[in-house]
Amino acid sequence: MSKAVIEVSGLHKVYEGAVPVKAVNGIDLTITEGEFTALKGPSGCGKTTLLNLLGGLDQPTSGSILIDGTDITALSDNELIDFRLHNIGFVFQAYNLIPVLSATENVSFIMLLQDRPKEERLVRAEQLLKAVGLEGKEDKRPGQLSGGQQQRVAVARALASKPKFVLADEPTANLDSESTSKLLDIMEQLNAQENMTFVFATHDDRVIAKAKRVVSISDGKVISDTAK
Amino acid sequence: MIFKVAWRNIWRSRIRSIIVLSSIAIGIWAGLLIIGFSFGMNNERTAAAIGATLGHSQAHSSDFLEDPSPSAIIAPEAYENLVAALEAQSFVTGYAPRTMLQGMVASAKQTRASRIIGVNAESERANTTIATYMLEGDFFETRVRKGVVISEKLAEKMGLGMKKKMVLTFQDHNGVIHKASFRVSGIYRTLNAAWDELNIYVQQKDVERIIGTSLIHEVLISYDKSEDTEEKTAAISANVALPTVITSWKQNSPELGFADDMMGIMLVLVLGIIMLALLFGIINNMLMAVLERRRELGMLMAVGMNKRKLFFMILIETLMLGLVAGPIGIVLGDLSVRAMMEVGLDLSTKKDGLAELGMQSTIYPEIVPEYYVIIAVMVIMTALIAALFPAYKALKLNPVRAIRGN
Repeated sequence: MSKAVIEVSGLHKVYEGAVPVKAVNGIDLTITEGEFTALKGPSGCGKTTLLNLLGGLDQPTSGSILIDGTDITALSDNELIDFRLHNIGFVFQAYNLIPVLSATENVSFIMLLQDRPKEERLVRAEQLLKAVGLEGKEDKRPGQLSGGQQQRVAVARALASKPKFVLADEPTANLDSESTSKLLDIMEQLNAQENMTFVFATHDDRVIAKAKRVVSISDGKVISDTAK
Repeated sequence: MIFKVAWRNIWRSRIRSIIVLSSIAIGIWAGLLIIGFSFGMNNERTAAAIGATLGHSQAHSSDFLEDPSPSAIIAPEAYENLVAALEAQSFVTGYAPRTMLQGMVASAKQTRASRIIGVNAESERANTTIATYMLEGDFFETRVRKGVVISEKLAEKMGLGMKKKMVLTFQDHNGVIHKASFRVSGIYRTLNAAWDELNIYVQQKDVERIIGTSLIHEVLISYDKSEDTEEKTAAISANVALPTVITSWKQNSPELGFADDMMGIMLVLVLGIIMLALLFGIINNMLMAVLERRRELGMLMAVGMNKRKLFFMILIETLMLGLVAGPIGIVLGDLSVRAMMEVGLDLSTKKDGLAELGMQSTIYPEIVPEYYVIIAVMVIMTALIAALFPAYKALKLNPVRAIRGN
């Protein structure tokens, strides 16, 4: 049996205001190593909030989040930043690459933050860029790459830190069909070959179709959880 | 790689960076010119005053410093001891004894209060530059009995010219009042208008004949170099017994000494004001850079860039602005000062005003190397201070909101 990478129980996130908004309203969820999971649901259902909570970018109002056995809700700000650096990979909707750095430099930058040696950074960055099909584009800056290529650099960057899992928030939202298909193939391949755990927040049917497990969320609650 | 990122980030907004780099460079350039000209003006004024009238140091009886009355003389025995002390020091290149009398000078046109300086013409010429300031006649080179050298300004005011008669009235050391007529044998103009208006020169031997004895109130002392005047003064003082007192030019001309001492402080203040203006320019530039890159900074915080590294990145970026513009400004400033050292700054339209301050109408700047270091340190400090607020704003970003561009 695969080991649980993410264990969420009784998770609530309430945004206070004139009318408090229950963005996450009592979610229990376990994601095991090597899963390829899509969190689906309409805009405003709470899937991005859940993803942010899983990534330690936001603090829950109540409940616990265990990542590989560590309760990240108990970590201080600085501990959380360090935890993210070594355990979680992020892929954002808008790629969010550093425009002044080449593809290789963008991928190696995160390893620099981990204080890894230069040689190791370069070798791993080249390997990852090759794995996402960007061989020959290593020296290109984000502005010289298409949206799909940029998102593949972002995937390589997410994997560079050797995380326990990758969280991807609407990774295909800005991509055309061909780029989406290529990106999904690459992520599927990395999942299959390297047993890398992927969790997507998406409402893109193409991503949902590829996912091995689909968790449907509505009004901050899990309404269905289907494994294929 | 942080340095590479910082360097490339500077050039993301090329025009904005060029503007801020130019403002830093121009600020430094202007600072160096101000420093160069200030030192040039002050040193020229000081050197002229020391050369023409003050000497590097002076010896007096302590009574004279309290009240410059005719009786406050350096007694003959004390003078001999002083001469021995002066001749024992290798850095003393010469000395000139003076008789200093307060008196009245009268022409057919008017009567004025004046300071009558009785000089040994040869030693005065040897130890001061007064002879080079002669406009008419000479500084007692031509044998003339009871000649007086007055300034151009005094000559104009009193309606005097060469060979014209003027009557000097003064009191001797015993309180006896003497009155004698002299003829103008020379007209001078130093750079110090205030000095010119007050002082007239006669020969000591003429004074001696009038009052019947030799009186020495002041001995002007010249050194080989102008540096370390205070130490040299102290070295002579150690071998001279009271009541003879040795004082440096800074003590003898407190206004010049004060200007010399204050200039360093004033210049650092001026540089501080320049840096303050630059500070706000750099803060503005970096704040815009941080706010424009909210998404990117949010991403970096999300993926695990800790606050210390984020702060360091902003700091390096700001520091680089100073490190690029600083040397450019220093080189430009240095080249400009060197060029101006050749041609000088012609302020002849302000000639009279400058003369009142003891300055020439063409100002030549000087290179003051220690200020290059001061400026470099100030630029680095300014950049570091300027980084604080933008870095603080960056650290306060919420990664989730920043990634969304909010």
